[in-house]
Amino acid sequence: MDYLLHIIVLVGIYTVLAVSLDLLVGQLGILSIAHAAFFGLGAYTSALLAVHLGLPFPLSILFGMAVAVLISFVVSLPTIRLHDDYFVIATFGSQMILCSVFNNWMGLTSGPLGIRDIPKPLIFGWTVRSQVGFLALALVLGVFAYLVVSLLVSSPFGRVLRAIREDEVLTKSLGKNTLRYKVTAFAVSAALAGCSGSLYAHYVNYIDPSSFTVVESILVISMVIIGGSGSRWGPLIGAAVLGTLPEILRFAGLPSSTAANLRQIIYGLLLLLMMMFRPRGIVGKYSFGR
Amino acid sequence: MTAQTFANALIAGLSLGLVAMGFSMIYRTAQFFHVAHAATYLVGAYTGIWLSNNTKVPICLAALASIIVSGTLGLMIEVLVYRPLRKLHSSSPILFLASLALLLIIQNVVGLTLGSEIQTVQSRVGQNSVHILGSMVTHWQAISIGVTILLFIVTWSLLRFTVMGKKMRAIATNPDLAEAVGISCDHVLLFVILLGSALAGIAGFLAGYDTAITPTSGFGILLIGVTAAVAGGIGSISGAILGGILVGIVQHFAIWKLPAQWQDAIVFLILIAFLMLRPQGFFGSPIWRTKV
Repeated sequence: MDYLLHIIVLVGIYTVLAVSLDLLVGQLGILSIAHAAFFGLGAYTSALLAVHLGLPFPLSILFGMAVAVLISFVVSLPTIRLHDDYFVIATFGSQMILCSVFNNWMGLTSGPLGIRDIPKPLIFGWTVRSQVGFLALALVLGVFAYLVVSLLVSSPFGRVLRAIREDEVLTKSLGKNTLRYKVTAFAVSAALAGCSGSLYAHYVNYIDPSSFTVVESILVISMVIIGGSGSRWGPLIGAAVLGTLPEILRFAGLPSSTAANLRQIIYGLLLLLMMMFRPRGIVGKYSFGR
Repeated sequence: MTAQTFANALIAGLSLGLVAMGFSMIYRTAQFFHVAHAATYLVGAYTGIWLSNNTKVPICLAALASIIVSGTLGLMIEVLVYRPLRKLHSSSPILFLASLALLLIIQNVVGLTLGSEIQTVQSRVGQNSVHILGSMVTHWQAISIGVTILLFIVTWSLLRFTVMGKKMRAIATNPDLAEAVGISCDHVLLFVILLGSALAGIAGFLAGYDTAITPTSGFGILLIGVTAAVAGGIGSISGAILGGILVGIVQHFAIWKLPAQWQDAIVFLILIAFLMLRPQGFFGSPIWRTKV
């Protein structure tokens, strides 16, 4: 039972991440390969604050989001003007730089050794210990992410994002400051990714840079594309499908050394086949990039 | 010391330049980032290492095998993935993403079949050193430099003086018009990918004999190659070589001031700086659009 709950909590964490990325892919129509880095920023910030300062969970998650937003400005302000591919390449570079910081800033992050013994979340004097508690927490954050994103999507702000997706020049000619909209959307997306990272760090108690590499970024993109970008339930379905995949492979009885490779091959194949044969994803309405 | 660092930087830079050259050429003609270029490089390197460690094939044949394997891989990618996607009118980010998925797949297939640990060539070929201008260069490195320069001249002339080169430029400028005057985009792109992949195969083969390699090094090679191509001006063959040398020099001289593990971060900072400040690179024509 605990095992099943564990999978559901992980899927919840991935859902928050996928929902946040879908704001960029599905609404704004831009691709970012830096999402695992923002996830990592949230995780590292709240883990460090909780370990060294003993900060309670609501505060550490807020700081995690704040740091993710701050760095998102550093990444997006100089690069958001870049056209399609070049923006993707720039986020790719940012992902590699941030991952290199996680790996090499020994004094702060302990590099590849990671941070261990991250305390269980402390919320207003109540410590979450059980799987059920974490399930509730993941649910709350998932609903929060969904609320934030659907409010944005149905607001005039979201309409402008979709207008930019369809025709940025036209949107600009209507007097919208498209740069500001893009930077804001990127920041909101990063904040939600950071929020998801905070929960992840507190849930697994131990983080190291290997959870925040470019491969993880591709995994989140796969979730969005496979589930269906720009749709309400697409990210949830994508996260559920790809989040449970490693566990299914484990039941198939593969040795763990080949399982990691095989998992990535399956992510890649699914992503590729989806783009070739069903670009809308499982439940999507909008095909990214067509 | 300085001469030695400079020589190492030049050797690394030329090797990167060879990767960047194919990458840049494919970008100019097909108008998207062929990320899986790093995979063809990786496969070329592994073919060389595997043949040298497990068979008694002479080096020339091993090199030929690397070229053939990488070239075939490139052809398969073009025919099985890129061409169907282009027929669906996919935009460049979609092709980019498909290419990224391919890199992930190929990298892991290599890891699965040949093991994920670091691999090197066991028989040390051409490891005797010669002194050139106060720096030690192994025979293998000297040969690599020669081969790279030769390939650069051959590729440059091919693009400059042949009909195929002209067709490539036509497609780069206006694919629809090129089709209208009877140039087959599919044929030309097939040729470009084949040529680029063969170059990546040789680059991988040469580097595989000189340094160690792991299946996960694909992403690193990719970004360093992109940086070199962007710095030189994407689409320019001579720019790619110069960009490669620039990246090599920065990498090797950064070690003096910073610990070695920051090498990659420095390279990516160069990439972002170029994208922001001089997106057309040294030689690129402003085909690129910074603002919408």
